[in-house]
Amino acid sequence: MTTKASFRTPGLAALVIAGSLALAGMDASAASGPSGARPAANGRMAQSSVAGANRSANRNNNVNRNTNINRNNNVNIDRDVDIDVDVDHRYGWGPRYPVAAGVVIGAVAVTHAAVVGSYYYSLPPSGCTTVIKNGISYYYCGSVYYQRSWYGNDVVYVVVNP
Amino acid sequence: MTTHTRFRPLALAMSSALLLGFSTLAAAQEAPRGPAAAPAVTPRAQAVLDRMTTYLRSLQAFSISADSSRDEVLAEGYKLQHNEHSELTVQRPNKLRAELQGDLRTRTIVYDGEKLSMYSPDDAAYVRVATVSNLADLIGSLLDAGVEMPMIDVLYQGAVGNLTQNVSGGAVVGESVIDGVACDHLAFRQSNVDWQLWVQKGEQALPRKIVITTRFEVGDPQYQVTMHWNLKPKVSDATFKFTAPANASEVSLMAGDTSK
Repeated sequence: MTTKASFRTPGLAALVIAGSLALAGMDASAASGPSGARPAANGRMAQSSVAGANRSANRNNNVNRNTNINRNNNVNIDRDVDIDVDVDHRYGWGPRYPVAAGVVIGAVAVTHAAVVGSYYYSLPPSGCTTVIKNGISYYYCGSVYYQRSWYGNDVVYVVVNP
Repeated sequence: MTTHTRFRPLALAMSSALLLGFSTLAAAQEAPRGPAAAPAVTPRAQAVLDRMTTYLRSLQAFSISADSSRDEVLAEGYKLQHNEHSELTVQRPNKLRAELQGDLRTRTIVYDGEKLSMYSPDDAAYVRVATVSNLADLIGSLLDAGVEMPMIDVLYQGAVGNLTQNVSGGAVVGESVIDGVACDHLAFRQSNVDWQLWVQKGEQALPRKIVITTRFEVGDPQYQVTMHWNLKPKVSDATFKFTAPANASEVSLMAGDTSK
């Protein structure tokens, strides 16, 4: 089981929370984000490979692992902060987006269940410092250590216990 | 267009066949026998696939310049399209380089026969993994690791060859011209995706286009890719060598994943 979550940018959170299409919000977040990849929208992506679809179908048939549990917590303190925790057993073919390191998301500090092994596409919005332990650098954010790792196609921040 | 008109009735017949899981069509074409024994893929479609696989396997080196799009369905049902351009160069038996430049990601993927390197310039990070020694096993590892690489289906069919393993129906829909090249248009159905494949007619049976429709997902999101082939790519030692940029740092593969 892997646990995955992402911190949304305010623009995209607004897009969902407003309940109507606020594409202008994406416009704004794209402009403020780093060059390159788009920020997370957390939608459902089309399958991009038949071989991949076969892999996941065979895996589901063999292990009957096709269970998705989605928990959405919206925390509104002055600004919209949207935390999604998706427990996704399908592995590898769900929506995944890179969020570049160093993105300032501009939201209040958020506490979340820091399960060791869970991973995020970006660091928490504030309060992170870089810590080096035994030659390995970690991000220390509100009593939680994250290590930058590669998962699938993307760079992720994994909760660790160094 | 005359070609289009000429093949229309056949296309309609094939559409019905797709809906019926090909049982009617297959039964009509094959000698009478139980429905369980009916072939999922029609002999004509299988012949095109075989021609493509044989030709792909005859290529020692090639490069593909491809443009793809991928739909994403947002929470409120809005279907957004992400685009990507990619360049893939392959040299048998065990070298590969892919450069992806897209809305969602920019990546360099290099396989030098011993190590797989993946680099994300936006993150200034790369990973290097000691891996297997041939393309077929590499593709398996990439699929297992959830790496989405463009044209992986083309590589898979060339290396492994059972892309249709889960297909419940497949047929030639008709003729179609892609980028000025006459192609056979094939349609396949399986439990989680419907897919279409355009294969160049004649001896050079190259795949020219793929469309994959995700089934049972709101909005029926699609992935599509159009491929431009170069059968005489210029390759050198540098082509399949990954040199980490000075500002990039190496990260490790995420440990502790137990879902595999």
